[in-house]
Amino acid sequence: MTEAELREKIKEYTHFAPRGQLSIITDTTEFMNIRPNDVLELNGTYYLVRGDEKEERFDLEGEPKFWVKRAVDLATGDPKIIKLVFHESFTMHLGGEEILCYRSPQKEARVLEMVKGDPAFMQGTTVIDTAGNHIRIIDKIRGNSYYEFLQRLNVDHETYFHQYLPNILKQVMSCMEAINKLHQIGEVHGDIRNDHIFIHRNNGKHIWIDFDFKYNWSENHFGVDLFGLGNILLFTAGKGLYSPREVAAWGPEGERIASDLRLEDMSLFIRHRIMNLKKIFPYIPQRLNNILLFFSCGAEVFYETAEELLEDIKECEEELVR
Amino acid sequence: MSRKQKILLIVLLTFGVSFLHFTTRHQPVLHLIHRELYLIPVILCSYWFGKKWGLTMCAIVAMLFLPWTFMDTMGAGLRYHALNVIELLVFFLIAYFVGFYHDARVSHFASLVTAPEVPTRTVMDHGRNLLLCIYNSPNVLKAAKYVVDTFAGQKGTAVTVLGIVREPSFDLFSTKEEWENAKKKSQSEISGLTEQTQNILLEGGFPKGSFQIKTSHIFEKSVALKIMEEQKQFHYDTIVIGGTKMSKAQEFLFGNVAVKLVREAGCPIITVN
Repeated sequence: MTEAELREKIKEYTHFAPRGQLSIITDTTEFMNIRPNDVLELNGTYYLVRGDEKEERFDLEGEPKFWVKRAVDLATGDPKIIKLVFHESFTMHLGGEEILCYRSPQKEARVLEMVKGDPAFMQGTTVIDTAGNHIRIIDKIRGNSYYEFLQRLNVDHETYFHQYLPNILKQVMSCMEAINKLHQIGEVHGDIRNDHIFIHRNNGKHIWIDFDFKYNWSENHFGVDLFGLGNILLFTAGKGLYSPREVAAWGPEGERIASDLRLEDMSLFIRHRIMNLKKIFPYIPQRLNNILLFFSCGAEVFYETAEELLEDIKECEEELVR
Repeated sequence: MSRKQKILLIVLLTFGVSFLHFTTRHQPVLHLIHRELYLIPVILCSYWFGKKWGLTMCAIVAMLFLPWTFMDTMGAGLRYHALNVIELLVFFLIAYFVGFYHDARVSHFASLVTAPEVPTRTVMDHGRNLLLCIYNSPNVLKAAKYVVDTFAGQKGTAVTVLGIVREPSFDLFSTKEEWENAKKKSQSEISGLTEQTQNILLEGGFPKGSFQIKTSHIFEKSVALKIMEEQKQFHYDTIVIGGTKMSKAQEFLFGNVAVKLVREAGCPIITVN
């Protein structure tokens, strides 16, 4: 495309005519220098950069992720997320344990290829720029995160549990099945969180995003992912996460519940997080509660695979539907 | 009857018989009978306390008996004194054989209590073919020393030292060079441990031909699974590994080789911590 053609396309898709000279970038190594209205030329396709994505967590306006650009495909007008190469390593702290994590572009590229066509995962392609960087071009998902969806569900827990949870749990199980499939092909998600499941606005499909994390594991390949799945199940069953302090703030009944909590009721990794939800919501079936307790300080055995976890949840699902 | 009571009885009997014996010096028939009564404390002492104490008792009796015999019967002939000595010798013989019977009885019962069960397989069969696994456990060398301490003396024990090198994933590195360096580091760690293990075995008395060294590289695979594959292929009798002490959180996140093997391997596992 010539510059004139590019300007036309930009005006067509953004209703905005860019001023000054267009900056067309083919080497994305210095991603900090890539700004809004720059154009990325990747494998013959042009993308208009609209800005940096933000790391939003739990309703907070997050920090900008300079290596992740919001963009528009100037050939089709489709919104895209362009993930540039950023080799970041850091230590994740989980319950006092340190896990060496790495942001791996090649891992995400590989997984994108493996999950092509699978609606449970974000879709995209990988292209290589002129400097040899693996750029992932992701189809933007129109929708909200699972975290936002559940938080916005404005019903009391008991109503939620009896009326909404059976269907929601079905969706969560499909997400876990997707993770299980990933594990079976030898890959891990790496960053399983409630806000890394997106719900498509149009069809309600639950879609996993952001699997560029890789962690250094020793004997159990899936331990960190399983921890994440446990959190998702806890969040789902409780319609939120609870600490003794929060529960005590409910009043006399909350204080009574909080005073009854023991170490064995708390998360193995986040000691202020209550896993024994049955103590808060007595109508939670024992079977479901037992699954949650496998992630608590009182557990003596642990899930080793997502398949094991799913098998147990399937039995609970039948109980909830009844 | 308690031990003290037995001793008391023997002492009382000895004094009683001595009293009777010495107070009937001038009644030959009774004196003779009373002399024979010394056998009672001697036999009891031998029966209850064994040969050593029976003979000691006999010696005490001899000291009580003989001097008086010589003093009182200085005028008696050599035959008389010889007969007394022979009598004492008979006492000693009786004490010896009764004591011997006691000792034999005691050791027989003792051996029945401590005797191991007769194994259906000999110990040699259990320990014969060992797999000693070398991986990144802090107790690997302790495991090697355990093998030496426990199995070096057993004839026919064969040890396979399996060094397992876990190759790091390329995803964790930004350049190929870093990855290659990390791989070399992993390799050299295991090679070092394997070499140290070899020295421990040699110094511990394993002949060179009784063990072999193998190295296996795994990528994105569990160490426990690799060990179980090796076991399935080569049918080791026992697997010896260094354990890793872990918190629950660590076990959840990272897994534990020893726990996995104990649960799933089809042979005895020795974990050395």
